[in-house]
Amino acid sequence: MKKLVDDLAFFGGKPEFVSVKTTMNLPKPDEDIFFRELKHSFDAHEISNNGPLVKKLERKLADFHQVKYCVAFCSCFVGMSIAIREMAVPGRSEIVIPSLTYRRMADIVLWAGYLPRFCDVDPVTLGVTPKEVEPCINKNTALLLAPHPISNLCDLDGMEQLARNHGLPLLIDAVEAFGGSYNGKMIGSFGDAESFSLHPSKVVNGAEGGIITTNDRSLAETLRAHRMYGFRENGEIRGLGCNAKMNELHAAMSLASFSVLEDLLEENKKEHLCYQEQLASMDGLRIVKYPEHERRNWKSVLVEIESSWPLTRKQTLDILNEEKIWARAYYSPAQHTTILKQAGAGETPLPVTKEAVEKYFLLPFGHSVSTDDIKRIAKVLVFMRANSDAIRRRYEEQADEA
Amino acid sequence: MKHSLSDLAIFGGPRAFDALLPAGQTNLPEWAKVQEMFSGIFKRHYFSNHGILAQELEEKLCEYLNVRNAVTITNGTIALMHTAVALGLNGKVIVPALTHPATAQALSWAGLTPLFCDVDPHTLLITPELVEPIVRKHEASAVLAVHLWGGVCDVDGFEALSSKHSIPIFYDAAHVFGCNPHGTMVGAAGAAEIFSFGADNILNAAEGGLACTNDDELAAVLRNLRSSYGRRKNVPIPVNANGRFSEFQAGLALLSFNDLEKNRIENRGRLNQYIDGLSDVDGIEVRAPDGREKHNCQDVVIIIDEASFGLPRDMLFKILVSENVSLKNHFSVGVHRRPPYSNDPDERSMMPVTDMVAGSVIMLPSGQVVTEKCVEKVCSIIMYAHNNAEEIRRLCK
Repeated sequence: MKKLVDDLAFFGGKPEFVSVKTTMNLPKPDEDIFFRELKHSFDAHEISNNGPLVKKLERKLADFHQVKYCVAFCSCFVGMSIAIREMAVPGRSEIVIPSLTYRRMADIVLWAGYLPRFCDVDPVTLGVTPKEVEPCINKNTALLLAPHPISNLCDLDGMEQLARNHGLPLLIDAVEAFGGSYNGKMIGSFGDAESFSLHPSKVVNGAEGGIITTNDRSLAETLRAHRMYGFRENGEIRGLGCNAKMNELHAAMSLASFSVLEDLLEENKKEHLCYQEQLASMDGLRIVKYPEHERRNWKSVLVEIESSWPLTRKQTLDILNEEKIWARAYYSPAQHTTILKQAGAGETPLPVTKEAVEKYFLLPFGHSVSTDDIKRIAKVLVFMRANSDAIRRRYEEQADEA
Repeated sequence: MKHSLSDLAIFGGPRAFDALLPAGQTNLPEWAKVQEMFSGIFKRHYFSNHGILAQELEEKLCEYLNVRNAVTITNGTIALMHTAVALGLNGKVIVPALTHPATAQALSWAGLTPLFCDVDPHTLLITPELVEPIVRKHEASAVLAVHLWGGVCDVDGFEALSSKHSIPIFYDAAHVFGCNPHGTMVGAAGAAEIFSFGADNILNAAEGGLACTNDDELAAVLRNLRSSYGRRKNVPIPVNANGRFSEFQAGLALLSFNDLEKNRIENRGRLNQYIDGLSDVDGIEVRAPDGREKHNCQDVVIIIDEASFGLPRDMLFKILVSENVSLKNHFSVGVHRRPPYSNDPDERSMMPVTDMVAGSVIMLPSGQVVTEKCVEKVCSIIMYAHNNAEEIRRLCK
């Protein structure tokens, strides 16, 4: 319990926590299922190359997402890059993506051989709508990439309509929306394809891995071929390939983690609501809420710093991090300021991005954070609010000394 | 044992193998050890992001390969992609046409254009002599040489070529982990050497790759390309990537590394058995490196001379596959003839050795599950096919 400003770790006090509290979900998979599943692959001496567990995982995740095809990859990063290569309109050079999204999204586009053209986001959802994307479409546009922001979804109806109007393929990056629904329909079959990560920081922990879901049979077959050096079922190669296979170890992990998904989401919701309750009367910090009437994974606690919060985001995060509360700036810096290779740099005004990139952050959540921890984190925030004048003074003194 | 033509599965007979005989190594450690290793991962609750097992593996492999840096990466192809990007290459890179398609594909993914080179008819490798005229003519920015099927390239000759033309040379060493044919372990030559720990190779991480280099700066770029984790120091990179190697991959690789000598000895035994078993079959040459004890002997490669064997390669391939022998055809067409590289008619006509070898090669099953009995059966099917070649050809028509 902090009584004095000096009790804050940033000013030399004891950190609130002994072990770090992170923003990663890090789900604990069912170990028994992991070993039971993996034993089958070991007994069959099939440990990769589209083994039995990869096939099983693909079936399960296709069913879960209410989509016809699911293709597993070594990572979501490589899977998305392959999907872009296979989906983009040939002969064109640009992919439209929001600047304010996963910090490696532009790199995924660059690996696919295209240039990102950055667009703005909607101020309410922090996702894209046709309003931001359409002005970025030109004769070089090869594909539209619409990522779901944390907590909300992008405008799926609007984006599908926009893609149809322009005859462009639409890839939805649904990493943050795994397990969610849109107007009651599971995420996974929107656009021409959707991508999901199975990294431990997400709600299904495959150690490493990713999937692409689609209802397009020909695309699914092409993706399957591409991940295995381009080889089709008949042994022919028709185009470029790569090695992006998911191995059986990661498939076993994904299955073992998927088996406890519903419990995890319930737990996430409970703890998310606990955060909301703890910070309900906190002037200046607003937790972005998940809609109650749709399925959501409740995996992230996204906080908006409002004008009445007395500290800057940097001050807030610096102080929290020293307490071993590893809160993180939300998608900062924005990609349009960091990526050198981009189409039309500076051409598109990005007012919402520029404002949003300064005022959101994520609070620790997931495996490392218990309900009790949430209460303690909230108390630290309450303490910071109550002692903000002194904290600001000390922070500035310390900065001057340094 | 096949006694009559109708005993062959291709003509409706029973399959020689009830279960599919795998083509690659698929060497697996004891299950109890796997359980123990993976339980540790669950206990630490640390699954990827360059954990302690990945670090331990890198240390062990640095020492074993006698190289300053060993960087674990998702798989061999992605390791090649990252290395090509880390070397800052542009334009065209020379590769052998006789290789796994992944060698050329990695270059394409890195935004480079593969420039195919034919191989030496005896070693089946590219040589400095074959490469040099192409470097001159096409202004290649690098050479990606491949150590194929236990054969190791003339690394000294390539070193000289590299200095003379000021272009880097790096190696696809996917198939030669643990080989030290000239008293030097493969892994430290050129700008970098890249291994694969895919299940088909002697060291098995299910999937996995390793980029080795004595160049500390190149290694720093590779570590930064791989992920934010395990960077050691931050250096500028042209593009970010994901090349992470999970704790499960690392755990399996560590166990597989413990079994390396055992697997190497067993491979050698199988290779010797194939050589003996096929010695009396005309038209079959089993490729065997000199000084077998210094090789990993993981690939059992046969070259079929149709005229003296009596059947074309594709027919023998079909006969074996129908007996439940799972053969791979990754090498059955020169990469220069495969899409997306097959558009240039000029290049297609220039690879006679590659075309000849690719058209006549089969890689026979080896690895842990292939028992003496299995090898015996495979040899007897090949022998039977040879002895009855004329009738088989007639029936297949």
